Amino acid sequence: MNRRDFLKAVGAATGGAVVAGCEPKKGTYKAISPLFPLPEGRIPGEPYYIRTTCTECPAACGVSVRMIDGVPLKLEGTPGHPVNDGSLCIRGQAAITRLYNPRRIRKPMRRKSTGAWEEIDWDQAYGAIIEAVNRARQEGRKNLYLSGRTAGSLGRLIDEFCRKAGFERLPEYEVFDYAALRQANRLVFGIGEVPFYDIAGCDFLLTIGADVLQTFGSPVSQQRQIARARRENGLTWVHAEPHVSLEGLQAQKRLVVRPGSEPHLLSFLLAAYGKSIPGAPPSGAAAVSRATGLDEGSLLELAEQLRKASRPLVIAGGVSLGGENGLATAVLCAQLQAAGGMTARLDFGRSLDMGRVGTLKDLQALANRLERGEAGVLFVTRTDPAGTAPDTMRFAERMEKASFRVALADAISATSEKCDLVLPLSHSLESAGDAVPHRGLRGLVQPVAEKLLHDTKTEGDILLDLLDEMTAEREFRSYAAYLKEQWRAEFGPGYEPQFSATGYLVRTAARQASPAPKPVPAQALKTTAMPEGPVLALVPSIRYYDGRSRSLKLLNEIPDPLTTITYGEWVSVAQQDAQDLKLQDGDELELAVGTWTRVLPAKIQKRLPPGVMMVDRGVTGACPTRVDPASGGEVAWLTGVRVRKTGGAVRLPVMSGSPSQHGRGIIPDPVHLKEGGNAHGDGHGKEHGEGHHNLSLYPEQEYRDYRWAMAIDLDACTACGACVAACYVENNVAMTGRDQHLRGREMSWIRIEPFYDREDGADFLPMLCQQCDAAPCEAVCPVFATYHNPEGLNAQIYNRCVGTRYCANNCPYKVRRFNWFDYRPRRDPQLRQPHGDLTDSIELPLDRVSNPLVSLRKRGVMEKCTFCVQRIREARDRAKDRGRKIKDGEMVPACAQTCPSEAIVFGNSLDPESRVSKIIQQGTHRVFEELGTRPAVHYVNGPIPDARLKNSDRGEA
Amino acid sequence: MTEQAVEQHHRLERDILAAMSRPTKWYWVALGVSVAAFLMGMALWLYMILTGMGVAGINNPVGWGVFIVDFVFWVGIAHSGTLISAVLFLFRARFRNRFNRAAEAMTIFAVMTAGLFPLIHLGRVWFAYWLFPYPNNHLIWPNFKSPLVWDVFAVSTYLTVSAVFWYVGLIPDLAIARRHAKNRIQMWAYRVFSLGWVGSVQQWKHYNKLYGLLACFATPLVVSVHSVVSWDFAMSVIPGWHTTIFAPYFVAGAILSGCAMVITLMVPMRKFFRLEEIITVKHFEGIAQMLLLTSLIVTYSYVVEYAIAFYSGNTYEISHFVYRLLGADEPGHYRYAYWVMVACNSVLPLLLFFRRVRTSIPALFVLSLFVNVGMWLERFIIIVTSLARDFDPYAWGLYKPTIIEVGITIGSFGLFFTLFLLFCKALPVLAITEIKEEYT
Repeated sequence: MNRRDFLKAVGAATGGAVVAGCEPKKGTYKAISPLFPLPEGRIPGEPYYIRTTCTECPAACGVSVRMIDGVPLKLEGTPGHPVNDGSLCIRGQAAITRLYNPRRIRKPMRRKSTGAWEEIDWDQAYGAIIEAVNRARQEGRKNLYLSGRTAGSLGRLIDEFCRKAGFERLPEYEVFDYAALRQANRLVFGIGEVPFYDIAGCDFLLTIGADVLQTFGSPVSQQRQIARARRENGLTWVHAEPHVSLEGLQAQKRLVVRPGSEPHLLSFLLAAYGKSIPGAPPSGAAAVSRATGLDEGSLLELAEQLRKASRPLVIAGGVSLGGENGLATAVLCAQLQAAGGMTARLDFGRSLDMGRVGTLKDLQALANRLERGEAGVLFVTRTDPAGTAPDTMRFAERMEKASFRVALADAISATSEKCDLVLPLSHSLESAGDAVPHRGLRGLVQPVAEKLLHDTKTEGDILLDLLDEMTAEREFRSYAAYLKEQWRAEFGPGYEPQFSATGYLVRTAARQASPAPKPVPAQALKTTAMPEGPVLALVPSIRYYDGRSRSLKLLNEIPDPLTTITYGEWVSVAQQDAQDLKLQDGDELELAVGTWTRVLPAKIQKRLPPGVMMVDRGVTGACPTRVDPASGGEVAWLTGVRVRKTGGAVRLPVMSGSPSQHGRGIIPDPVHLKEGGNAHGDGHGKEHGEGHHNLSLYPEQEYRDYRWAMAIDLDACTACGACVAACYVENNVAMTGRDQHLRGREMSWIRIEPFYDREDGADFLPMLCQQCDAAPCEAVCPVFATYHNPEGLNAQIYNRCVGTRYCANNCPYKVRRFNWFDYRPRRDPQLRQPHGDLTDSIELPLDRVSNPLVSLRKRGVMEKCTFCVQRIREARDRAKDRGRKIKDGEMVPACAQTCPSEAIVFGNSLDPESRVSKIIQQGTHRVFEELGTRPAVHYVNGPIPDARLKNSDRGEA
Repeated sequence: MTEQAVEQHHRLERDILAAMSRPTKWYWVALGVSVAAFLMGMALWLYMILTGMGVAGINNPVGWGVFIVDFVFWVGIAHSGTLISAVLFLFRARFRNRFNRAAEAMTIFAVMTAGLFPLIHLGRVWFAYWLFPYPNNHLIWPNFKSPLVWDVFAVSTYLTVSAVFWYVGLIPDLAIARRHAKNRIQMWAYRVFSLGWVGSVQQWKHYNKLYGLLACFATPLVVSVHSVVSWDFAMSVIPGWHTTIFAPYFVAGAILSGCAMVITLMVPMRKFFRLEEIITVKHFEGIAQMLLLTSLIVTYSYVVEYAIAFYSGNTYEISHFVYRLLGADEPGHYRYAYWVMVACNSVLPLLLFFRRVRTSIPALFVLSLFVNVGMWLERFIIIVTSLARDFDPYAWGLYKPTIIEVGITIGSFGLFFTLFLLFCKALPVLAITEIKEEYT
């Protein structure tokens, strides 16, 4: 063979091998591009956006995935989306870390006889399922299909699968099932759904236990609406609650009622409208005052406010519907909505699609059937009943009575731990699908990330594969093809361009008028008085929702807004109870309810009413909850709690150094200013203007085109923490872990400081680098690693930094962060760290959550907020290409971009026409201004003029 | 010169140079312990370089901890050497002659030890040279606004001048040592380093001129070094740091700690090398008086610090100084540190008003140890408590030193004592020629 022939042969062999390798194996549909073609003419390396939908909670906000060269970098709200219009919440921002969650299952896993897991192929997995199905059929057992809330086309496919494969589809299981609310609306209005609440149109809002900012309904939408109503209608927001929540601290007025006394309050308000409902609790002011613990004055004031308001709205939800009297509360609230003419602001045509979500009662029924040994193959997908159901249900134990258990999940949970087979599900960023934020709106879910690390599938693909194996007929190549078929049938052939461009499709339904209220059977109004003694409340968490996000490191890294605790679990205890028990923060308490016991460290919560204890959702293992016979939902208010101090104590990672401002006037509240905020002590206020405060040895800063500045509306800010999560993802801010947090080494560039100085409620302040004109950090750096850039930023040059840390010491705002270790994710944290889990470092593949436009910081250097300088650069380059200056609102930092309340305004303060300049001209407050630092971050107490920002060109070129 | 004086001179030479004779077992033990401590410190530093600053206890907001405390402490120790040799020389305080050699050695070794700490505390020590102005292709100079750059110059100047001053003072004694050299290596070394000193009138004339000049030159440095070190803090905005009294306050504190360290070192040295006849109680009394004086100045500074904080009416200053005094309610705050410091630096030295205490060597030794501890605590309080509670209450936090920081601190003592022990055997521990002058 001569040389030429040899090369030919090698070329042919290689080419053949490559071509052969290109053929996908059966059933290994690999998504490497979005469902619909992207517009042509993209420049490699330039960011672009793909529309999809967030699947972290039923709200299903529109998401634009920021992509560079096919890699998803960050999720942002889709501008103009009917639900969230550009914003995302803290969980939505963190959703990308679920894609790279180290705990994700990489391959199908089968339980070996020894109890250990073994990784298997998909074909083997399918084989095992089919074998189990056949066996169950022979044994005459029933095959069951239990899923979490399912909306959109997947529900139809599950139906089809169940029909063809002989499964029984069970009511879906969801922890937040709105059982009482749906039941009440069914009884009163004849529609058993959670309506869309038109808060934006209100001028008075009374929320009763409903955590409208955190998990209830559609939180981002509600938060945006509240902010809008505050600006446009001068909304008055009163929040009544039996515990303490972010809503209570954010509302203008917080009413603390006794647990379970909400029906009394509602009965009183109904009486104010001249309505008396037979069977409702007594409505006399004195009786109600006795029952609720509110004084008569504030009751009368509330009734007065409600009656006077031209467009009031009352929403009951959350913890208030999670007690024994939940159904009565919900029914009376619905009656009040009807009596007060509020039904115009309840839109059942846009109600939350709860699909086929059942209640806890249905799960109880399933548990009973399992106990009887009826079940053959049990599918459990996207839900974790074993970890969230009441412990008395003994669900995990009973599950084992099914002959074969299959879990479809992205990570191992209490439920999948009890299964014989676990099939890994793709993340929504790797999946095709659709979502239904509310009736009449369809959200597009499309794959944006290539599955490099995991051999996972979507539920739809798994079901199609199984059908294929079972019936030997394959209708659709993939679930994506199935979806396109469905959409074409539903929306007509021309749906594609709009769906692809906006990420949603609206099917205009006639606005459904709320029907007249119907009389309600008296047993729905039955109330029982809460017995004496401490009560324990399981409350929804803004970070963990119903506990499903607890495994996401980023959400653990960001402090809880109320307590500023980051990692771990705790029980909040009222100050008075803590005194009685002689408790300090971190002392361990043993809580026992029935057979359930748990030891948790205590955290004293100033605003919690005595006798109430609070634990966030997602306490691992089964819960001490029980089924509410009235609504079928869950009772999450537990009485008969036995509390014992164990004598042990742990250190809680509390990020706040003090819950008080110590009269320093950090937050621009007239009270604090009076307390002596004028810290240079010569008794004058701000009337002398800049004056002697700005004496400086150094020349004035000079700017030519831009001086970047920020204004933050503290009235609008709800302390939801979305900005913090956005900042972490945008700027590659390191997650450092619990151990480092205990040592005071968190890395957040922006934080939200709560201060509990007022008589009731609290003040919150987002704190980030103030980008001072006379910055204390700049003068002290010996090597010019921090310097003042020509656009006013206190720039930090990482590779010039030698790490003296003087800048951080000298910063009055303490916003500089030092890299004490190499915090970048690594495979084996033990390997390079002889101190064990000293760094507690994040594991791979979380390193893939990395913005290539922002440098990663090595150990030994200082870092800080940059006002998202990479975005400024991008905008400036684009402006330069077009021969103009950066337009106002063209560029916003990640924190301002995601803020659901649009509390953050960013812009060029040299331009007198920019929004930020206009706000500054109105007069603002700057923190520690008396030090002469001249910060560029301005704080105002509402309202910001011309608040619409999101619809402007945000640079999604 | 009388015969008696000549006899006296010979005895002096013999007694002082006897210290340089063959080391005893205890010397080797002491040296071994010091070297081991030093090596351990270096090993811990290496570990920290390889792992990250996080192995120390420093955090947010306390970015400076024991390393900077140690730096200021050692710079403070370094103070009295030059003070004793230069300032007291100019004032013709003759008791200095018994102490100046050892005190100057102490100064140089303390500056060397101190100089390590700014390096140890750097996040990226491998780029430490960026703090020096050197021509480079980045065309970047250090930031001369930063007190840390002033520090670089202040400390390195002080080290240079102190070393030159010490060496010049050593030359006549090296010539004496040359005469007593026991082997060729010693002979060669002393010959080279005594620069051909023969003690001619001409040489003495030049020598005295140079020594006086260097004393004049070194005197302002006594004030400047610690003033500049104090500006590391005073130039910041942090309550507890940002105050104009810092420069004199730090200088007084430095002299106090320096005098205490001289006593701590000289008492055992006098005992081991049997120098009781040369260094008498009278000489110690002179140092004790200086200790008392500087202790009173330091106490005055403590009072003024508080007075100014309250007089200013500045919320941050007042609440910080209250915190320093009382700590917070929770455990772990630095509540007792302040009172221990006051007891060590202000109260106990008052005993020196009694002649019996001043003239009791054991009492002085114990007292000097207390002052050493008190002065270390003073720096800890200034540096750590100020950072732990500054402006924003949300960012308040506590600092606790780790075993690494303790180990490196012990290592710094190891380095210091290693150098000092080597000095005892290699060079005349007392200034022979200057003591001789007293017996003419």
